[in-house]
Amino acid sequence: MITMALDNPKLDLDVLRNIENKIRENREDVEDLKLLNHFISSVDKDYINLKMKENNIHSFEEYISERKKPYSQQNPNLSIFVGNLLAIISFLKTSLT
Amino acid sequence: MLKEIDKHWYRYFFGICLGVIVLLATISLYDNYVFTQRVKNTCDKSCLTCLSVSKDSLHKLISVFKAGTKNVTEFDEKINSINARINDFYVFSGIIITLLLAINVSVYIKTSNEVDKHMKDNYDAYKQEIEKQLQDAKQLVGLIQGEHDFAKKINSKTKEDLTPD
Repeated sequence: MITMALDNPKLDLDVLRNIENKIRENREDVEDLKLLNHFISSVDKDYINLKMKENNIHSFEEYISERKKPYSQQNPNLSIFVGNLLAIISFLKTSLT
Repeated sequence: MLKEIDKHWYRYFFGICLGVIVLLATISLYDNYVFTQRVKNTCDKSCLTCLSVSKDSLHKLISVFKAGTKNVTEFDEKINSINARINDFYVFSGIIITLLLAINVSVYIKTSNEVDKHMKDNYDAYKQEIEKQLQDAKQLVGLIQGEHDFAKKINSKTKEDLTPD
């Protein structure tokens, strides 16, 4: 049952709020990004991958590790990608309401 | 405590104080020695030779003249007294202005040094704050870009839906 729920996550406002809070507090993990990618793929399949390429980020793991670094050592475009993720959440929220 | 106060501040202050002391000493020396001597010499050499009279007779003449013109002498004394007061006023005004300038200069230098020190001490904190603000701004740029992308997508999808097949 749990496996099924993980395989087919339901788009929910609470889930989105939870991910948004995690991103704002710098607590997100790879699973959250995968979940977001899964939700947005119904609208645009390659949106997150495209944005990652644009901002010179090669994987979700790299994004997470970059986020843990101090500001001066981070990828300069990392924050733009974070903004993109927040835009995705905002769009999904709008589509739900 | 002494380390906190910059050395240059003391140098400027002592320099100005020294200047004021030298100025006062020069005025005093000139007034008491050079000027008096010059007046004496002028009286001794020029006046006496011009009048062709002895020194004693001249003094007698002066005493007679003083006795006869008491009012005029008192008036001269008053003028001299007023001149002396005016001179004092000029000197003390000069000293006060110099001290005010010195205070202004010292405050300016001290403030600039304090600001420099504060900036050096808190440089990392300010840098970190600026970097955080920069990241926040970039995050907003990303958010706007994303919103723009989705708005475009919705717009094109709506157009496709409205276009008759």
